[in-house]
Amino acid sequence: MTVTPLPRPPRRVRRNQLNWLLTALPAFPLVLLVLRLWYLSRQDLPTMLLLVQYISPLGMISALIITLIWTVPAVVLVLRALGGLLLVSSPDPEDAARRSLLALTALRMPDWVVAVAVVLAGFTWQLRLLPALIMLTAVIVALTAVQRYPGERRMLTVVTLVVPVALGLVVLIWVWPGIRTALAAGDAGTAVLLLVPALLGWLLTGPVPPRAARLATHWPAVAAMIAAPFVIGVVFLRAPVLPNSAVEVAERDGAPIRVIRGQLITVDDTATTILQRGGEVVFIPNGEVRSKTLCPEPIRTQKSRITVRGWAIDESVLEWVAPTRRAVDVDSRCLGRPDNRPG
Amino acid sequence: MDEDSGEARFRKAVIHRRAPVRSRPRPARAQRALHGLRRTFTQPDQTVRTWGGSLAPWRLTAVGVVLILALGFFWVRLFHIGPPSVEDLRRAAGVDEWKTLPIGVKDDQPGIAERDPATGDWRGFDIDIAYMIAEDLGFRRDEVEFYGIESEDRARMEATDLKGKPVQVKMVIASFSITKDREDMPNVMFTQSYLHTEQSVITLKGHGKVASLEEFKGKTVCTLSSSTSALAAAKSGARLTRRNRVSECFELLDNEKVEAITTDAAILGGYKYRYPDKYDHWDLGLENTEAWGVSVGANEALRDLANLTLYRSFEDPKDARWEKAYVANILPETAANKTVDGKRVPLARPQQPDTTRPRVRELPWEEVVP
Repeated sequence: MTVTPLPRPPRRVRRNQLNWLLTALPAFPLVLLVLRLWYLSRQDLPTMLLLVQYISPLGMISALIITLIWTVPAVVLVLRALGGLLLVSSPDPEDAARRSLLALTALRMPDWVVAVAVVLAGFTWQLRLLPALIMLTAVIVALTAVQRYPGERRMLTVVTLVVPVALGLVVLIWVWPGIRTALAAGDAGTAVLLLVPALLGWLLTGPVPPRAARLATHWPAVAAMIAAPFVIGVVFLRAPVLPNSAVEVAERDGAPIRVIRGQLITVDDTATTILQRGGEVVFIPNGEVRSKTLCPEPIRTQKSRITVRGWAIDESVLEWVAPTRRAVDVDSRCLGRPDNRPG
Repeated sequence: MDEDSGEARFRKAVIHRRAPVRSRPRPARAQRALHGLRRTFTQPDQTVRTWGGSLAPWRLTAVGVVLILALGFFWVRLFHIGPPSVEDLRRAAGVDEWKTLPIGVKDDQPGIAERDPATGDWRGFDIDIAYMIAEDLGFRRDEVEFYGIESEDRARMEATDLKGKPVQVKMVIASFSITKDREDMPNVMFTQSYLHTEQSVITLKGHGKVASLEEFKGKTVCTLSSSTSALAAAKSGARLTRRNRVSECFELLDNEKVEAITTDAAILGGYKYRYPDKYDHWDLGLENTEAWGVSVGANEALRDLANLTLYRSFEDPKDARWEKAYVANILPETAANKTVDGKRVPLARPQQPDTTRPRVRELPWEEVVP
C-alpha cells in the first residue's frame, strides 16, 4: 500500500496574511512612541504638540531600545522552544509546519539567531531570570537535537537528560542562597523564579503527546502574541524619556529663591521650558534661572535587598559590569529646597 | 489557521486503495500473530521520531505548570491579586463616608500642638503632620477637627471638646511614642514614626548642672502619666508626680512644688523657647529614641493610608511637607535650647525617620507612590 498525498493548492491566503503582518510590524514602535508622548502630556493636545516639537526622535528611540531590549531575546527564545516542542511532538513535522506559523518559525529560524538571542538575554536579563534562561537554552539545544538526529540514541540521552539535569543541579547550587533569602523576605515570586526552571528544565526536552501538542504549544503562543503588545506598551509607558531636573528660580535679584522640579523639555535663547509632573508646562525666562541640576529617577532607586552571592537579583549582567555612578546624597534642590551653598 | 481540506482528500485515497487488500485471502492465524508481535517489538520508523515518548505525559504536565506560572506572574504583576489599591484602602477605612476628620492632639505643648485660646487656632508640628495626612485623605483644612486629648486617653482615642464633652476621634497625633507594650494594647495601632526625639529634663533657671536622672534621687520630679518618660524616671529613684497635662507639671514647677520635669525633649524645647529666662533645659545621657507615631485605633486601612502619606513625604523629592513642618515649628526652637555652658540640647532628629514603602498596589499608569 503506497499512499501519495495529492498535491495541495498553493496557500495564498496564509502568505498574504504574513505580508500584512510584516507591513504592520514597523508601525508598532511608532505607535508606542506617540502613545508615550500622549501619556507624558497627560492627554493635553497642545502640550503634546509642544513635546513633539522639541523631543528628538533619536532620544525617544534610545529610551525605547534601552527599556525594551530584553523583550527581543524573550520573544525569540520562547518562540523557538515552543515551536521546537511542537515540531518534535508531531508525527509529521512538515505537516505541523504547514499548519502552524509557530512551528514554521521554529523550523526556519537560523541557529545563529538563537545564539545571538541567548547572548543578548545573558547580558540584559535580570539575575532572577538567568536560571530560566540557562534552562531555556538547554531545552532548545535538546529539542533541536531530537528534531535533527532522531536516531542517535546515546547522544540524545546525554543531551536531553544528562546535560539538563546536571545544569539544573549546578543552577540550584548557585542560586540556593538567593532562594533562602527570598523566602525569608517573603518574596515568593522570586523564589519560584529561581527554583522552578532548574526543577522543570530537564522534563521539557522531548515530545509531548501528539494529540495535545498543538494545544500546549501553538495556542499559548498565539495568546502570548496577542498579549505581548499590551505588555510591551505598559513597560514602555513607565520608561522616562526626558531628564528629571530641578531649577532654582528667583524673579529678581534678592528675591527669595524657589525651586521648580520637572522634566526639562528644552532651553532656548529666551526661556527654559519644563514639564511639571502634573503635566503643566512652565516657561522660565533665562534671566531668572539661578542654577540647574539633574535629579535621580525616583522609580529606579528601589534596589532589591535579595542577592545571590553578592549580586542583586534585579540587576542584569550589563548593569553589573557597566560602570555606574556611586550613590550619592540627593541634591537638596531635587527635594524642592534651594541650595544653600555659600557663594 | 487549521485547514483540513488536504486531509479529507488524503483519507478518500486510502479508502479507495484498501478495497483490493480486503479481497485477498486472509493470512494464516500464526502469520497474523507473528506480524502483530513484530509490530510490537520492532519499532518502525515513526517510533524513532518520538524519542523519549514514555515521558510525554509528564512533559505535558510540565508545560502546563510553566504556562500557569507564567500566566500567574503577569496576572499578579498587572492586575488584582496582591496588595490593595488606594481605592480599596479608602473603602476599607471608610474615609469616603466621613464628613469631617476628628483628630486627637495635645493642646498645651508649644511647638508641637497648641490651641491659641484667643483666636482658637491650632499650631505646631503635630498639627502640620495632621494636616498633611488629612490632605492626602481628601479633607480640606476646615474639615479637620482637632480635639485636645490627655495622655491617658490616647489609647482609648477619647478626646474632649471645648465644653468638656467626650469625643471619639479617628486618629491620635499627640506626641505618642511607639512602644511594644502600647502596640500590644487592643485599640492601638501605630503608623510608622514621623519624629524621633529623646527624653530630657527641664528645671527652673539657676538650677545646678544636670547630666542624668539619678541626680534627682529622693527629689520630686513631674512627668506625664502613662508616658514612656515615667519608666526611666521611676528607675532613677526620683519621687514621681504624675500629671495628665504637661502644663500642669509646669504649674507645679513654677510654684516650686517639684524640682524638675522630665519628658520628651521636643515638648520641653517649646517651653524653653517661649520662656528662655525662666527655665533651663538639660540633655540626659539616655540612649532610648522616642519614636512618635500616629495611632489609628483598630483601622488597619487608615494606618496604611497614613503610612502612604508619610512615605510620600519621605521618598518623593517633590513632597517637602515634613521638612516645612520641621522648619516652621522645631527648627526655630533649637537656637534657644542651650544649656548654661552653651551646649546644644538635641530636640529631635532634623530628618524624617526612615519610612518603608507601604504595601499598596500600583498600576503602571498610576502614580501612587514615587
